[in-house]
Amino acid sequence: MGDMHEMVDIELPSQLARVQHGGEGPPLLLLHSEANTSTWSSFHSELANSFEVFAPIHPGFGGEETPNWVTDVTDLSFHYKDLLEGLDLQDPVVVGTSLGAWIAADLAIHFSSLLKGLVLFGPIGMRWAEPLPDLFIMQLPDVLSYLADSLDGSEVDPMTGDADLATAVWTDLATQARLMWKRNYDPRLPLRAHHAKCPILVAAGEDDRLTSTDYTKQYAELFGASFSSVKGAGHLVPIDQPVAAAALVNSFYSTLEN
Amino acid sequence: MELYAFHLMPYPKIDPDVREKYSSAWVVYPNSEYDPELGQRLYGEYLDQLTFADQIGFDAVVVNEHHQNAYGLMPSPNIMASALIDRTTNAKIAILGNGIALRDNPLRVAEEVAMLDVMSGGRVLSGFVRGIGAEYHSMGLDPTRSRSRFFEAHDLIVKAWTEPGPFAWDGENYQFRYVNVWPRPLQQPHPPIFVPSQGSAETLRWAAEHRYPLACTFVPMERLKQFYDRYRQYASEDFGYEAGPEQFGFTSIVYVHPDGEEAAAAEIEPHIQYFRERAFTLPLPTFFPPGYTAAESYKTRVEIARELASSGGPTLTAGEPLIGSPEQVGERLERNLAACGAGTFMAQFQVGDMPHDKVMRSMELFASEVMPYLSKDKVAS
Repeated sequence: MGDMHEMVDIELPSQLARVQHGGEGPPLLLLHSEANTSTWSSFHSELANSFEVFAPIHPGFGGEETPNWVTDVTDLSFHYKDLLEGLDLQDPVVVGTSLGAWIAADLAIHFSSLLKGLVLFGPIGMRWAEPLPDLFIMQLPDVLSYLADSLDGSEVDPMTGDADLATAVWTDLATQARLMWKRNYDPRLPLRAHHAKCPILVAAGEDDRLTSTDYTKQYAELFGASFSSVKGAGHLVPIDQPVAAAALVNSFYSTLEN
Repeated sequence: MELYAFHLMPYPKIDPDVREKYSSAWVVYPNSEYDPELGQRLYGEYLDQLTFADQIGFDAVVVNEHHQNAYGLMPSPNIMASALIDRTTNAKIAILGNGIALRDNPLRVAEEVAMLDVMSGGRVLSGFVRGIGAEYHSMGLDPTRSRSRFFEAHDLIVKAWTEPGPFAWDGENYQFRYVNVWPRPLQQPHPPIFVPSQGSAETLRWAAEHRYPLACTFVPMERLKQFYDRYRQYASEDFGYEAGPEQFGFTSIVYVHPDGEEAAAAEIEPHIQYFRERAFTLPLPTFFPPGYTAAESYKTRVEIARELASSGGPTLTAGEPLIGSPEQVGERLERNLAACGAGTFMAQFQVGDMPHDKVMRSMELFASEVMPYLSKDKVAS
């Protein structure tokens, strides 16, 4: 049942938003990560069994050139504030992975009163003592292996894999470069995190190669969030463990109902 | 025909295992591998080679900009240009080019090039480049802004050279309350602008629009013809003029040997191999970081990389090297110029780890045997 979905276009002040929509239940805004950016994945399907899922494709992802108006993550937060209004979503729970989790956290910093709660899988965007691995200088297959255990990097090898697929991953990386090339964090996060007043769960894969457990735990602490770790998952938990990730969202949601 | 002497100023002692150990001779190749004392000798020899080019009648000497690498030791081409002013008398000093998009303050380029132009008595040719992808890693600059910064920096510099200051500039990438560059260039309205290019359609059209000469390096002759034809087409169809040979130049390796092609090839091959297998060790994500070009151009790049890999890796033979006896070199040079309709030839005598005496011998032969042949032909036409 969770496989049923449609693509909805909605005009926002920033630009046209392309939103995948499926499932029934309370509203859930799903903000995607760096990989498989326009796929209706098994994680989407799992969530759609319990929620009405709205999964927008970020501006500059899924084959679109990086738009000029996008300069930082906060630009995307305001874009998604407009999307919540455009879709008339009341008190959605917001689920984000990696870059999507950073956007979700920033959205909550600015507009937490509009949100029921956040689930952040492998969030990024916090300053750390050591620089995180540089995805932009890596060969594309290595980028995928840093993100998730279950992604097949050989498909996107520009020399031996699928040239179209490689170009698609490279194009998605371009918009990440716009957001993270100089800094893959927001130095203002520690001064602003307390404005995210809704309940938050932070979850990380035990085999995460991009951010350490210390990093994610500190992220949770910064946001006053609870923390959970997931076995058998790399950085992109919902790609490696879609069922366990969806179960975490469900159990988090049930604590909000009480 | 115009003859330029082109130089990369490479580092000749790159680790033979650079590919396995460091994966790159750029960005991450450790600078502990650089020996400053050797470096001092190299700068002296390389400048001597360009000085000699002036003495034997080259129309220009060429310097360029690359950062944090062992491929070319000129992070500041303007410093090299400055060193060449007093060493040369007649040759133009061609900076091909300044990486204007790499500067947070492009007015610094406007100032420096104007200084060089005044100091040299108007001998500067001013090339502008975006900088290759590796520079964006090395300079910590977002490659997705590269094209926009390049075009805006160009507009700003040209305006700073040609319109009375002070004026205000409020652009997408650069903002200045007071633009008022001292000194102004000697050449009027400004030093000639060249566009070194890898042939993207966007750049070709832009260069054709401004009538800026193209300078292409290490481009196979077939592709070179395509680029020039496209430029000529933009010029005639979109901008209403016929582009002449003075608007096209290209670089090839030159090695002259009295005993002809076989002897020449045997002597230069190890240096070409050094260049190919060490200096040009440049992984695709370093060469083309995400967002550096449009998606279509990246895909084309991937296709070229696949072609090159199947034909044995990136080679300088792609640039139609002129290797052989003076007669062979002279004949091929004229044939190549005629084939693509170019009026400027940029000879690269020093390649990879080629030692100074070898370079000088080849240049001497070029001067005594090839240049008279070329001049004779020039008179005849």
